[in-house]
Amino acid sequence: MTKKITVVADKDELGEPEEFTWDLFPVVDPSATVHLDANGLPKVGTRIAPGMILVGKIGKTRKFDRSRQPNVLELHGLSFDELRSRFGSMWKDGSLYANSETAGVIENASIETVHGQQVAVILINVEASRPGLSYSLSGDRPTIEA
Amino acid sequence: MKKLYEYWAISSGVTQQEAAAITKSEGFGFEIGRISRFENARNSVVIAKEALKDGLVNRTELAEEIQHGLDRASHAASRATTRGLAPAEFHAEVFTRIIERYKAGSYQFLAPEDIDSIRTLINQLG
Repeated sequence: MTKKITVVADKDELGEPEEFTWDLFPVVDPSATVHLDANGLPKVGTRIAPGMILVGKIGKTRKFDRSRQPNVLELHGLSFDELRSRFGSMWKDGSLYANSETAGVIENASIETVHGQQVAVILINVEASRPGLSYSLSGDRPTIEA
Repeated sequence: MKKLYEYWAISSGVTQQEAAAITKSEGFGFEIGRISRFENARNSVVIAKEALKDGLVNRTELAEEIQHGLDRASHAASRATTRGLAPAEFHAEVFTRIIERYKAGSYQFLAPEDIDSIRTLINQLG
């Protein structure tokens, strides 16, 4: 069965539109977004397990400060956890994560504009999901367990 | 990322397709993201969307992010922090390595005037 899932780019805490993107750094570990494209959409054919990101989306928080961005040494020298701890509060992860009812294989993914708002539209074959797979983000790195 | 200089005042750009071909030749991917950097998880050079100019990727910024990718093996940034380097001094070292690789035949997408500008920048930063 194919299920249609839509995600709207809302306004963030600064009143700016949220951004669809794979790049949720430094809020979400980049290893959890390798299946997403430039628009934050999963590539066609990707098997999405519960806990994986279906649509990547991020917005600024009230703590956002353009003058307090990581410098080059921090960016390339600190661990992801340290970067998230120091700078993560400036952004909010607005991504949609799959659950057991929205896991499956991606059939199509696109960004549409509806009434001036950007909307991510996902078609996913939920029958193609593998029962028993779970996706954990509790550790340092996401893991898929059978 | 905090900017120490304006890339577009130093050099002009290449198309995203050209940038992708250049990074591929170094064994890396190429992505447009929110923060310019080298991204280990994707083994890719990431250029921030807001760093593009008319859709073009700045040549010097591209070379810098490729160099960050190449420098991973030597943990250059961590070692620079341990040595007490300031970000500007670290940048000067990164740009010095870019010039060395250019002389050795790499980074041929950089124009001679880009190299002159990078040399000037090294003097200003170091």
